[in-house]
Amino acid sequence: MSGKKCNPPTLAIWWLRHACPSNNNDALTGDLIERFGEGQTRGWFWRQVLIAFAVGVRGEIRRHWPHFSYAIAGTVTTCFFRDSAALTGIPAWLHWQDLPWPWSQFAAELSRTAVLALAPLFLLAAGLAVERSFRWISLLRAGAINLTLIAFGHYSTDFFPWLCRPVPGEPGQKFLIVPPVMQVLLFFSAFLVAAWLGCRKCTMRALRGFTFLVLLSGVAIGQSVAKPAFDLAGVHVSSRGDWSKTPAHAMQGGFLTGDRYELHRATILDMIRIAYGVDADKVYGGPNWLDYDRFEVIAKTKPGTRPETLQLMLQTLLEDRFHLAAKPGTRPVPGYVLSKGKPELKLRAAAANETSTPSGCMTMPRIDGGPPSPGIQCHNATMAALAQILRRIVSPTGNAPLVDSTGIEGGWDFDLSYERQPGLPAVSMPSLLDGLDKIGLRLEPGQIPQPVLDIESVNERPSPDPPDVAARLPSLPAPEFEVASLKWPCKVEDGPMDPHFESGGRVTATCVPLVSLIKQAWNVPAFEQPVGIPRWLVDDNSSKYNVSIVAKAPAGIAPDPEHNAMARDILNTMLRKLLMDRYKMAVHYEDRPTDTYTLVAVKPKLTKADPANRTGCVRQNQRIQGQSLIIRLVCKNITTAQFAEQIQAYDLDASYPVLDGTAIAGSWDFTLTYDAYAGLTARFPQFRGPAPADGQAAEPSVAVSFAGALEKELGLKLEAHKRPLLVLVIDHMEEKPLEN
Amino acid sequence: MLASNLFAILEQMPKRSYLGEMELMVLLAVVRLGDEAYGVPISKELLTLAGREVALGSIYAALDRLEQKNFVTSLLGDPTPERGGRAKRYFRVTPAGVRALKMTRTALTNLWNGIPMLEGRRS
Repeated sequence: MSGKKCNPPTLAIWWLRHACPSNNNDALTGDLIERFGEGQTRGWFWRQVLIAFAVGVRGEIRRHWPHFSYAIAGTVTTCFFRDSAALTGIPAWLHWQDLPWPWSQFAAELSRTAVLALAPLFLLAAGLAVERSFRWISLLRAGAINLTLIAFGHYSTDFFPWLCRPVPGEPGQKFLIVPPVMQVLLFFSAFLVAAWLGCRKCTMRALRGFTFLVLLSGVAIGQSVAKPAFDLAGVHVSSRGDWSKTPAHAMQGGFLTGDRYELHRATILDMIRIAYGVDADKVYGGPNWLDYDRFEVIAKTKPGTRPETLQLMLQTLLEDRFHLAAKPGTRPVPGYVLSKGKPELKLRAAAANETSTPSGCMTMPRIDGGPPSPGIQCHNATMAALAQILRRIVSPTGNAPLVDSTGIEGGWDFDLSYERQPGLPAVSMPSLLDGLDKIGLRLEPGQIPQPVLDIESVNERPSPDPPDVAARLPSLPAPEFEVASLKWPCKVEDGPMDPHFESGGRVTATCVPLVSLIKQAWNVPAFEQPVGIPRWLVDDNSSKYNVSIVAKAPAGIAPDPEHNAMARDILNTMLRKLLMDRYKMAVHYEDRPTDTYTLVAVKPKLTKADPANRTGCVRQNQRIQGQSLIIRLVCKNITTAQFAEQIQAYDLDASYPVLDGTAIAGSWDFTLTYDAYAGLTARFPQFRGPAPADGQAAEPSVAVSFAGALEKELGLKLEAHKRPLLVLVIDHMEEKPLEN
Repeated sequence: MLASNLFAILEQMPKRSYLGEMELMVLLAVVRLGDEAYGVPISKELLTLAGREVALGSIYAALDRLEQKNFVTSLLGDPTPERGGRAKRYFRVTPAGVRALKMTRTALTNLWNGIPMLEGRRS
């Protein structure tokens, strides 16, 4: 026997001493060495060690089965139900935006995981009870340790950034380099350690260990969870010439493209709305320019940053650069209350076993080509579900709250018939109120307490950018489609559908007139035409030149479909390049005499403004009446120059910015009620719609055009004249696009 | 209230105190070996008398359980060079262990007595 074979295997002895969970390891080692000296082989020795290890582990599991059950249940819930749809609403339910930092960040990022981690505590409690070792303090300690460990694990990616790597081909996304199996094991270990430490008798040693763990995690999390901020941000005032021409879709951006977060033409109110997740009408106070002055924000952060974190970063930017001081609060706002009516309830209790129809309320489908949504059909619906659908009807913008104060519980079957009257306030819809009355319910206006944001102070100008912003955040080259396919000619019956982003950066447009595409790409006003459109395209009345597009935006520039309205600038830039390439277009801008307006004073009838009011105009009670679109425009604390700039947003007849020739100084409050279609129908008779049937009188329009209302109600006038303005001129364009 | 009632009920439930097969054999070996009962002789006793080659790890696991049930006590001997400087752990049966053995024997005997045909065949 060689010297090596004479000795028992050292590694096996080390394994036995250090890895086997038993109190008898020393005696067992001695026994094994004694037997080995009597002639047993090294293989026998190893086998004995492995059996001792397995027996030890089995004994530990048997002794601590509640801990293992808790660890298994916790791992399963956390790993496999983390993205469950049922949990996605938890951060919103906690009103995380209203919480002070850092609780807002914890609520936004960790609330779902925390709920999943704490749920299996019931299992641990039951196990400890069966084992007769239940103590509330054990549960509390286990829960606290678990949350600490999970928070530490969650923020470890910030603490150890090398744990994340970019997804190849998707610079905006990152993945964790820890393999999924290892992640599951880490979760399992965290749960097991939490249960083990939590359920230990509270010796001084254990207490010291726990305190050390909490302190260590606190320091690590504290460093990692410093309120999120962009790595670098440049903020400057938007050029007035840029934004005053595009009032219809003023703000752009607000999403991450690669490592850049950009906002263009955003007011401070826009930024507050995005950063704090509140509706604009729930933001109170602040200076009068809050919704008027506009800013450009270009910031850099890690690709793949979560939307909630981006919101917190924008909050930090507002606090650091504009010194914004905002305080969450609660105020009663006008809304609606659903309550029990005087007559007896006429609801049918839902059948318990009927599952063929989904539970809830839905607007009833169109019947025989009649008017859409003549009513609501509810099956096994709670009053909360009814309140939800009623809110969508009475407040299409979703701003007016509607609360259920019926106190009626359970699921009910009922139909609610009403005649839809677009634009009419809900309480003015007699048929809806009658319909509710028939089933024993009542809907009334009321003051509903709602979370709001009070602006205490904010600076009008941002603090200066860091010196190296221009170098580190250079302007990016104009984006263009990675790949694009044009289909021409196309089936008109399939479209048209304007270009828009779909998921994964895919862009589609279905059989859109070529002229419309050109106008969208170059931001030509809706009722104007580019100069120099080829004759073959002008003369076309057959949709012959309509085109369908399927394209893919470059990796990193793939806004979610929900951001389409905010991504028009990016889309139009890519469309321009595509059309230029495929149709070999040559274009330029030049000054041409253009029909424009100047606002002049005739007999001004304006009221001096309350300087505390927020500068701006708001459309109220917009509704269709016959062939008119009636708008009530309420403007506050606004100068005539500021008002003139915005006219093109409210008067469809004004394609270009209006000049102010009133020479009126000061700010004013006024209201204007007009028919937005009146000017258009005068210019384009096709907008009048079909002529009334024989013997039937046309519905008279009760409202005047914007220009008419301006003169009648405010004593101001729009004077038409020609002045040179930069317009798009098409120099050349091929009739057929290049092959794909 | 419900929780405290539940815990009171659980508290009154008797703990498991009977002997499993492995525990019975190991305890008998400890009794037979007297003052020389430690891991190696116990395993040899089981091999010789019961024909079972039981791993030492399993024997110590059974002894641990017996000690928890207060059926055996243990004490450490002196370290010896032939054991790599490790001490032997000697086990001794307690009066409770003796009672448990007697109860188990009585139970087994009663059960065997109820099966005369099987005894007849064995004989």
